[in-house]
Amino acid sequence: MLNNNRSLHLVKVALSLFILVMSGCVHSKNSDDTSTVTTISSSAPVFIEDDGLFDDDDDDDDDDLFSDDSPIEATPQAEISDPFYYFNKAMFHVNDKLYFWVLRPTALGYKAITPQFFRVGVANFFHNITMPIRFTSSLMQGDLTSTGTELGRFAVNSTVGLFGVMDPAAHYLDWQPNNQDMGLTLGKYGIGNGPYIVWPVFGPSTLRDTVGRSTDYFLSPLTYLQPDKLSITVQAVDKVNATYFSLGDYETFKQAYIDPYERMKEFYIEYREERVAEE
Amino acid sequence: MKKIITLCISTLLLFATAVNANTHNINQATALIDSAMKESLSIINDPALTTEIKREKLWPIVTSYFDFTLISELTLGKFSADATSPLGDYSDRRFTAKQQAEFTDAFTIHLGNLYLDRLNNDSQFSVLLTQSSAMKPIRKMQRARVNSLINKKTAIDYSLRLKNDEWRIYDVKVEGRSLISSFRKEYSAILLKKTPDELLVLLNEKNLAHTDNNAEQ
Repeated sequence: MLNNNRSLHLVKVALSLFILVMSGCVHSKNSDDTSTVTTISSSAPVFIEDDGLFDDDDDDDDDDLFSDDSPIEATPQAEISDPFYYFNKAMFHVNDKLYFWVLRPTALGYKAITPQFFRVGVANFFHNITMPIRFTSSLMQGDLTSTGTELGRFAVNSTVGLFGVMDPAAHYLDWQPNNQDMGLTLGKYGIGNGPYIVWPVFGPSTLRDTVGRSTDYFLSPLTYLQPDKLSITVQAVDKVNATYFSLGDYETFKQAYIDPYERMKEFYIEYREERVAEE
Repeated sequence: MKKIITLCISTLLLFATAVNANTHNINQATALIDSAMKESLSIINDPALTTEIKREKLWPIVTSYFDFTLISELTLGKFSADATSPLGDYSDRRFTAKQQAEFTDAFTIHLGNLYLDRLNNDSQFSVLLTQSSAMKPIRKMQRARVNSLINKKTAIDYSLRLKNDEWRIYDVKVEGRSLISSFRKEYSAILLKKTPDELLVLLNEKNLAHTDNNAEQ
């Protein structure tokens, strides 16, 4: 089940392959632009980097399709540590059922009774209010530009943007959020993933990201809402609203792969490694 | 001296011809993607069409622009029928021509289902073709990459090959992630544990689960 922002984004990236395969089709819940514009900027006979799907070492017809002559089996280094395999797989199924039996129907009902601008506003509001996570993470990474941007975004969006419901900082000032978290911060400190863990409700993670996520929990103002029931309810609304924006992605992912558990693990680790490697 | 000048001019002309031919072909590849986009968008963005009609109209377009035989072959990689790389202890996992033909059929339907299943919303979108480039020719096929932007933010790159004077798409990269690499990884891992026939059974089971919305219905 993919019911946190990080997982949703991960699956969006991974599944966009399937959303967009073949005739270049894609859906966007926000766009109303239907025009096709063609501007070709280059057609010089300079060969770009190869896609590596063919073996192009020889000029003759070589049918070996691998360009890297990789071994048949994965190297031990490439293996993802999964000592809690049976627990993780069980949690994967629990989350799968939670998604199909609870979260998805709830998100569909939510979609039916709320207009699009409301859902976008709710998403903006929750993103804005969790600024301390991104601010602290950027600060601890020594990224002063992003730290300043997050602070500026919060100031502008909380005032001009009507308590964060709108995002004028991005639209008019081009101050884009950096979406950092404490798991990424630990990763940038050189701390490895550790074992892969699938948590009920929260979905795929690693030992490092679990520590990071725990810290994020204490940095989120939503945690401190009183009474506790209010805090849980508000966070549930956040999850349902976020799920709306990725409805169909998990379904496609599950349909695409014969072994979705392994692919989810792989995609999660790859995605987080890419985020850690980002400048 | 005259001979040298003639030789130089001839070489220059030859080079210019080659450049023009290349540019011409790359433009053809771009035109193909542009045409595919326009055809698809006119259907997908048409609010008057039902999801079922969109599926029916789009499937022939998809099959005409993609080279599913090559896609399947590249997806199987070392395990494909014509590959020559040694498979060591897994030599019995190489597909026969018959198995590969079955795989191509099943995989085509699988990809079609994944795509067509997404056609259940009334969203609109735009496509901007941003760049075209040549890739090093292989197997006597010219290759090209056409980059595009969906809704001005998602990067989609198409890899195409020219064979028998026809450009066809053989891979799609979304934000740098290759469709073929993604499936190749999954099937390679499965083929370390299962035979080609067992993989075909699993893939056909996936397709049967889509009976209600099968790409070829």
